[in-house]
Amino acid sequence: MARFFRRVSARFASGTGRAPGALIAAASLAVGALLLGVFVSLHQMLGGSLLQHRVLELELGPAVDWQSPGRAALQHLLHLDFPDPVDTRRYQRATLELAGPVQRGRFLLGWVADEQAGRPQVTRFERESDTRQILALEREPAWAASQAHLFLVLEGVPASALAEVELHRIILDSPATSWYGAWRSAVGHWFHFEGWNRRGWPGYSVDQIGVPGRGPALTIVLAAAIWTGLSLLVFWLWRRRARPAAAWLPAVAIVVLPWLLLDLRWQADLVLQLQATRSEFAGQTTLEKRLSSTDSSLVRFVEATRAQVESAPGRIFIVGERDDNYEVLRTRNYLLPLNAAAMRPEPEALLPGDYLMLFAASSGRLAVRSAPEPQAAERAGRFLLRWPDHDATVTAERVVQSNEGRVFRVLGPASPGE
Amino acid sequence: MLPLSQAVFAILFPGLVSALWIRSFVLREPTGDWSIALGYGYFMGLFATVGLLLLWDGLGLGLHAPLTLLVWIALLLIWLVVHGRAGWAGLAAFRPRLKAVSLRGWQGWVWWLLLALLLFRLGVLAAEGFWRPLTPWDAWVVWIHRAELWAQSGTLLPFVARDEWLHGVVPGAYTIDAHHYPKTVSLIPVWVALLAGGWNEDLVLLPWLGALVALLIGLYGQVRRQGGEPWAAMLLVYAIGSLPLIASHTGLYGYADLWIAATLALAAVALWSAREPAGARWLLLAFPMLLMLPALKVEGWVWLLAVAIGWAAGWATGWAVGGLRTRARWITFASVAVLLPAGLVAFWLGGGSLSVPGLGEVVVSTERLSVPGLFTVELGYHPDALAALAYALFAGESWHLFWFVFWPVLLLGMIRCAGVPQARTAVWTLFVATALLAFLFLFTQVSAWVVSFSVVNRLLLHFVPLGAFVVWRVLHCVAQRHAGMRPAKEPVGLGCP
Repeated sequence: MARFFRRVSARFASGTGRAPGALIAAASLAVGALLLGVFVSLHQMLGGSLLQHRVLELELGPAVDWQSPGRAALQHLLHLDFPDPVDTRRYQRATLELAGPVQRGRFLLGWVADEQAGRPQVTRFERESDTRQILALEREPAWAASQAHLFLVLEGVPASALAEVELHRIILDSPATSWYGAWRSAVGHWFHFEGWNRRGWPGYSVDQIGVPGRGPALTIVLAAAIWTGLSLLVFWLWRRRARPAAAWLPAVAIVVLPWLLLDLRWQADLVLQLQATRSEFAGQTTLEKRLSSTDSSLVRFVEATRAQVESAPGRIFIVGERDDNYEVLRTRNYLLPLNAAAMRPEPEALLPGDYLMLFAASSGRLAVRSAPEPQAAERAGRFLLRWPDHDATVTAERVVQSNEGRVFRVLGPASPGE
Repeated sequence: MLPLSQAVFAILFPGLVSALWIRSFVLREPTGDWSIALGYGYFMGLFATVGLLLLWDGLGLGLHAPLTLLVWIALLLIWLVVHGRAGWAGLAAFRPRLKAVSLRGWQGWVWWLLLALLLFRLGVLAAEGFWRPLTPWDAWVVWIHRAELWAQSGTLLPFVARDEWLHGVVPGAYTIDAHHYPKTVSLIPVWVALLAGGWNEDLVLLPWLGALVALLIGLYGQVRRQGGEPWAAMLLVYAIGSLPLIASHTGLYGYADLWIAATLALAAVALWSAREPAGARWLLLAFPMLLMLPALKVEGWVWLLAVAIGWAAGWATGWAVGGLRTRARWITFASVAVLLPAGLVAFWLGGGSLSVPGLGEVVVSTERLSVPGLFTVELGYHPDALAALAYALFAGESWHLFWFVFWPVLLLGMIRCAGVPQARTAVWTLFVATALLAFLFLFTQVSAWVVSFSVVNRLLLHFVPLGAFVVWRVLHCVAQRHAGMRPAKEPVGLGCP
């Protein structure tokens, strides 16, 4: 073995260019990896943050929307509207910054995670100064969920005194640990499985792979690129000294190997995703798959609507919070081949026999109330549909009622007395 | 299993018949012939099928699958008659020459390893697409939404704008915002459904999976035909097939971007091949596929422009190497030397508008570029898109190391391959395309979609397979020079063919 290493190092050092290409490529990659490790570790030791997970910040401002059960209540809740659900494993500390000192009460951080079946967890902040409270989350066993929606709880302050509480912002981060800990955390992120994105959950999609701004600044692709670049530099320096001039083929291998490693990691993700997909959908019909997906309640609403509409088909107007939101457009697709459009029609445009699918979130766009006390039995079950920006109203009968929304069949314009 | 086998037949049969015709009338090379025929044949076959379906529907026959199938059977019989007159020997001439592939030593190991990785990837994506319900947004909002309706109705029910739908302008019409999008991508799964006996969402994946396989096979054949070693050809197709965004567009099928990327790559390579001596036959493949680009997605018009400018620039800049030897080059050079500064000055002074018959008012000003019915872009620099673009190219996980390899090699190609017509045209085309993309991303309203990461990678995808081929083409050209081989002779005259 010793003889082998002597021979290899002699060949490499002699610069004769007769060393096997694979060996040259391997040696260059090894030196490149060493250089990358040393540079990044030194950078980390000197206070750099290449390996640090990004900080997640939410500006709260002085006027926030506390939810209180009543005026006498001493416990208040504030939803923390981060753009996406928070991946809790990436953050080990929460810092609450206040605009001014708070004389009474205490703050708690709460979260609802997917894995805990919607059960909320809460834990208390520790006061560090008048304007700063800290919570060490790595000590909280329930924090190690994966995706969670966060909220803030304020206890011990009456609702009438809430105006005195001025919040500034909340910060989630991972405090700097050793350079070794930073490496471990970064590598943990690189090999973290995301999966395809789903309704309300970020992940891989046809638009992008990986979610920007969620991992360390040194992404796995950047690390692989720097490694490749350094290895190519090592190879080039060696090649300049080699006599006779060596072939460029090892340079190809130096690019291909990091690419291959990136791809194996990606392949592992695809296999994990496939396992999840298989357990969720394999062996099911199209309708069963839809019912197994995150759209299940939507699909049930659509199928209930279909059952009512198919006997007397008409145009279907799907009205949601917006005309281009997920529920509205997805419903239009699920309703095929029924003729549906994602829009809120003007009352004058509706014809008897048209249908209106109103999602629960659409109440601001179209108000529904029961028709006046029925004068005759056949008027029972009638509703008045009122547009907030129109005088005209429409009478309709309700054909479907579910948690997702309601479906009305238009009967015609309402009479003036209604 | 019956619908699955019928669906597989639906996507393969037109492709195989097209491959036979391409193999016998376009290809004369000893290497890469069947790969090219099958790769190009897949797309030509499906595009022709879409054309036939549109024809029958236009004639009032609806989306007539039996008639379409009959046409393909007739084409197969005609081919057999033409080439079978000399008996079995005539047909045997088209036998694939598998023994010609040389896979010795480490090259063999690399070839087989990469093939195994690719096949495993394709298998995983096939299973993923087969089990998963239709997932990505534009698939169920536009492309597959229309396909499902058309397949169920058996005719091209019209899609109109919201106002027209509301007022019942077109009886029986449906409405989506993208009602004007080209029909081709939606009609491909319709063809599969028509032959599989009905709409089945599980089978919609197949054309997308086939498109990826055909793209890889076609490019493999082109690399082999142009002198690449088997391991280099396999490395190229592995590099493309391994890219995460390509995988997501296959496993999460239903978008038009994979189709446009594959068609653009194969069409442009065929067009560049027409610059070879006696290469005019490649135009038989290049032109139909290039003309399909706008029929796949509206952006196809812009990419067509990039290919045309790249071609013209590749030809015109031959003067830098070959000198202004022909009158045509002199005229082009003089025209560009006069028109380009004049155009820039006019643009700088505020531009203007021009009424084009049949098109409308074309506006070219410092605030807006507009061609009616095609595009309207508001101009202005958006610096915030630069960081997002840099992230997408160099830090995101969509492309492995592709862009780190692509840019230096493109630069190398500009410096070292200017004397090789095909490589020069390829480099120019990619240079123009990336400049167009950079303009779109940084100086128009598209920048908002770059910042939200909703479009940037998908538009980049359109040029990635072609870019990967150009990387190989430049490295091949440099390797030939390094080995002391004479570069291909600069043609005199129009350069084509």
